[in-house]
Amino acid sequence: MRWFVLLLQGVARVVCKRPWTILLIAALVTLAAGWLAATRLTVSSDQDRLVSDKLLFQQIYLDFIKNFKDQEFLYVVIDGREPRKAEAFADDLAARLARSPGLIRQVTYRIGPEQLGQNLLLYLDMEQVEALKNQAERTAPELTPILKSGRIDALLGWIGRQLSGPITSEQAGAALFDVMGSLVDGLSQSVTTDGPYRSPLAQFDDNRLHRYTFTDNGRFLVMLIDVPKDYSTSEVIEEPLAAIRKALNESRAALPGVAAGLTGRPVLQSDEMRTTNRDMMRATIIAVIGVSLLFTLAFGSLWRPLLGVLTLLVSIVWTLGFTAATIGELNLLSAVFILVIIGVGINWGMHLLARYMEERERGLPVEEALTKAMVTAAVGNLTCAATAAAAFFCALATDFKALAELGFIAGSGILLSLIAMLTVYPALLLLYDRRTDRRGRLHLTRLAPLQALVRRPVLVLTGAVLVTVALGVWTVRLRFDDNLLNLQSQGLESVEWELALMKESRESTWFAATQVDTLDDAERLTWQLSKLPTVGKVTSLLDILPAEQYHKRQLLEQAAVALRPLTPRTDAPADPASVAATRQALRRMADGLELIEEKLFAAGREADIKSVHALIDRIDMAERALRTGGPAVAGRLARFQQAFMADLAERLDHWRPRLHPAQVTPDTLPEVVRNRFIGQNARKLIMITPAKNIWDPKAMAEFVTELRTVDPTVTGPPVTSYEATRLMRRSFQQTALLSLAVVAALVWFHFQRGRAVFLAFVPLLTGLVWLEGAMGLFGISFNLANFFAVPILIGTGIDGGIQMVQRMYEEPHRPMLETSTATSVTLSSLTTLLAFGSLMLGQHRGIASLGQIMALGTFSIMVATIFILPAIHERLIRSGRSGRSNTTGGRP
Amino acid sequence: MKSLRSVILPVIAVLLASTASAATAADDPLLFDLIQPGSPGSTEEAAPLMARWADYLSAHLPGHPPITGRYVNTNEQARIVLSQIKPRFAVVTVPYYLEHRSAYNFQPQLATRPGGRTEDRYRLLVSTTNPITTWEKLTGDVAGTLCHTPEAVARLLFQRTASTLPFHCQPTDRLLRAARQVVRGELNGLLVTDEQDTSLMALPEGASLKALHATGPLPPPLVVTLGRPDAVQQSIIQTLLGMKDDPTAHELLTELRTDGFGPVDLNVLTPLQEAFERAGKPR
Repeated sequence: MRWFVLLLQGVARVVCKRPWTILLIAALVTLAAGWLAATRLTVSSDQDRLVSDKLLFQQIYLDFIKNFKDQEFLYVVIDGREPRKAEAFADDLAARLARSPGLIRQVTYRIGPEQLGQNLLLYLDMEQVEALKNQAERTAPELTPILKSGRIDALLGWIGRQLSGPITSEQAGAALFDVMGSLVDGLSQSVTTDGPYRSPLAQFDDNRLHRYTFTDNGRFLVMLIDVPKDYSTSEVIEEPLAAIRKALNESRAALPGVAAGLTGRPVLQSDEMRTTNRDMMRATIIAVIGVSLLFTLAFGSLWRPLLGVLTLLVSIVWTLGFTAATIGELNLLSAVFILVIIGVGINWGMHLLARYMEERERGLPVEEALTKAMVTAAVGNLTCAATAAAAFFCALATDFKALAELGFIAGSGILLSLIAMLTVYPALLLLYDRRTDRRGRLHLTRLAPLQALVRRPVLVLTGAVLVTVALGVWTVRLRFDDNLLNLQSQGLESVEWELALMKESRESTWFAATQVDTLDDAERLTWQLSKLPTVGKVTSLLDILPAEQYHKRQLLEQAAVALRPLTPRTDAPADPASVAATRQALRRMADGLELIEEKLFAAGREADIKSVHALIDRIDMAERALRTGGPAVAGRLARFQQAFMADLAERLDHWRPRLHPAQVTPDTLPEVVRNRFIGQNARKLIMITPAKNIWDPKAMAEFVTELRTVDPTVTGPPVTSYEATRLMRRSFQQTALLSLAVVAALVWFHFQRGRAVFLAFVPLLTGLVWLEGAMGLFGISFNLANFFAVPILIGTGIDGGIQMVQRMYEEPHRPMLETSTATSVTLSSLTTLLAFGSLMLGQHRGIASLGQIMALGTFSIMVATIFILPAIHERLIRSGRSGRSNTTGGRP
Repeated sequence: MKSLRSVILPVIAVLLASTASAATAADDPLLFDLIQPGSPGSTEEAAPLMARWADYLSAHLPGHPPITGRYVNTNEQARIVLSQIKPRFAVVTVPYYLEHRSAYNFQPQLATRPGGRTEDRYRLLVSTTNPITTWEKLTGDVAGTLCHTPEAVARLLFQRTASTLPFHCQPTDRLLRAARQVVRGELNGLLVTDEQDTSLMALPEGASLKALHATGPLPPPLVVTLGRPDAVQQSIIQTLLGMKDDPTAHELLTELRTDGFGPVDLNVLTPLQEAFERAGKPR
């Protein structure tokens, strides 16, 4: 350590002789670092890059991403309890989203003729195809002569007869009612006015034949939205997300009464980043202001502390430049380093200033006081900076890449801030105090009043032991909460809809994925996966390819044969007799409906009666229009029946090719489907949705474990999250243990005396026990966001112990609380507390809990440092074993 | 059209099934009948439901020939069934029971619980625009499914014979149409059961109708045997009694629109029989 003292003395001499040169060099370095940061440093928000790609689970996932591209969509979840309203809402939203083509790649929420083409009917259930064929064979012989006659009264009479006869399927029955309603409406309108023909068969238009993507239980309609992702921005999908939210709000205003919300992992992550960024920005501002104020108040001076803060900012720029030159990017976690430097880097300046002011109070001139302060304070500073940096560097040993990068950047930043505080700050102080030497009065707040308490060391130490034992008992209640959802802000729309989707439909936006070579493999694996209790739904090409195609095509061919003779006559005339026949057909139709109404009445189904009665009213209206229409009615009726028959003929021609569908194979599927389910490696994707709440860590573990019994290479967000969570937890534990060992080694290297090392560790270890006891007492759990506080506390918490023990050995008979060291230790703890404690105001519960633990831990260690160590020291003085003096500030 | 679909689908289900299974049990010794004069539908339409009911009972009577059920809703059908085929039990309305008790030796065994009701009440409804305040002043035509058993209804409601009523009781199978006719002034009154009254009040037409006269509490439709029940009939009665507590029977009971079957309240039925007899005697 002697060499370091000599080095510091040399640096002090240079600073005192050439302060402007130091500042000039610092300014040039700062400019260079700033330029590097501005031009080369990028921000990566890609969460897939947070862990090392050497890990097997990550390699499998990256391979999956490479072959199947990004499968993480945004989901609009719409309340589907009123299906028609939900469909209208989805249509409205899709139309609004289509206006932002640059921001929205694709919206998938319904499937219909445009995707399925001539193969549409193959997607009906087997029973439906059979019913269609039977209906065609049953009705075609009856309808053929009716349509050949081209008479609307004959057609209405036939429809009326269907009310009392058997109907082959539910769909056919529903269609019959629909046709009846729209036909009589069209008839009423056409015989009342000479307006244009409006097709009563519009319900069969292609754009009305979509099947919407409802959950299996019909509770929600789910829209999948694919958006471009920009990982160079922190929120990744900020612009598309804003556009979707705007469109969603517009749809809500246009169609009130339909509940809908946005969710999906990208939304959740973007929301999380937005709240995190806001929290971090607010915390940084509060930390800078708080630290400046504290510095200023404690030292009774404005400019000296502010120069320290200026130096701190310089060191942050240096760290940014260093990061740009080495790693080149900041990730979601490493961006936290600024708070680390504010909270820890300022300490070196505080220790220096406190000692400098103490020496000035003793009457030393500026240069001498500065040299003394630099040499004495910096020895402690060096060890403290080394321990703090080492604690962060320990993260490099983990496979959690984001944590390793944070460790590297923060550790380097701490060392850079030490260099700045040993060069730039003294130069600034020198220049300032040379000018203000005769004007300013130096004043340093002291903790001397507390010395009275410390003079009763037995009392203090007994109290400390009792508190430690009491809180130690509570540590058994300490828990680790690895539920990621508990880290999010409360009331986030994306969280609430995700939970609603899981709870009320047993579906999820999260899915695991596996790949197979053939459809046979897919079938086998689907069967095996479906049997697992934790699996909710398995989706693959098998769900996209129609089942029993051969049989369905045969049935459809038979239907085509049956329907072939249906050729409506499109020029049938109408006369008064036709009008009378039509009226009679309508009356029979109404009578048939009345019979149905009576049955419904007997069954007590009042609501249904109202619907049927409304239809009877429409029929009555049509009948009345024919009765009261006068001589023009026959002509109008003729025009209507001719237009209707022509319309029907056109629709039959449009539909006939659909009765001859081609075999659907993976190669003939629409491109959007192929891209999703067939990878670039030609393998087929199987998506597996969990049955239970995937946010529950236990459910997630069970899900992943069960899936791996079927396929060990299963991947997807649930698997990577599960593994990443375990990795984070393991990494934090490793880092904590490793940093404890490294810090112990460094402290030993510094003091090279067992008792000194023990004393330096007393406040840290005691404070950590108090922290964990308090957490158990107040029910605060460790989680994936706050657990990293432990290695940080180990790295920074040892600072006070080292500084105090160092001073104790330097002036063994002087009460510790009367020294400037006690003040600077307290102040540096308070700055760390302020910097990290400001996170407690965050909305993101993970961030807030990190602030909570850091504040509680720092406070505990600070209290232990300023009470326990001075009390031990007092006890040692009284027993005459307080150690020997070492005024060089070097090794005791 | 969603609600319309929900209307048609169950109806279609009944229609479909009705064509599939026609009457099957002409030679079956264990026949029962549901006799509801004036109710809608037909024997064929109701056959699937009756078959499910019969299957349920058969499943609970192992070792016996299969049971067959049939729905009849005209007096003529009922007469043929009761006099020629002699079912093992029948479910009859109270007026039908009172009118034909002696002829067929009806022995009341159980009471139904239509819509959870343990008692019934008949009402005479008129249009709210009709100024009269007592039934004695009502003339013209009064319709109702109840008018299929006019004598019993006249005695229960008005303590008179049907021939002495001031209005004509006209049987109908279309009660809803009759209700609309009363509202339009084409009919003068409507006779309804408590269940029919509740359904009517839930419709817009209900707001235009008022009750002019009502009976006191009456028993709901009864399960009767023709003569004293034998061992098989006793078993059937026990099975019917247990349906209420059998979860597998809940869907069937819902379709039958009853909460199950319970004992007959003779404290109500016996005085009613006496009153019916009294009202038939010349004054």
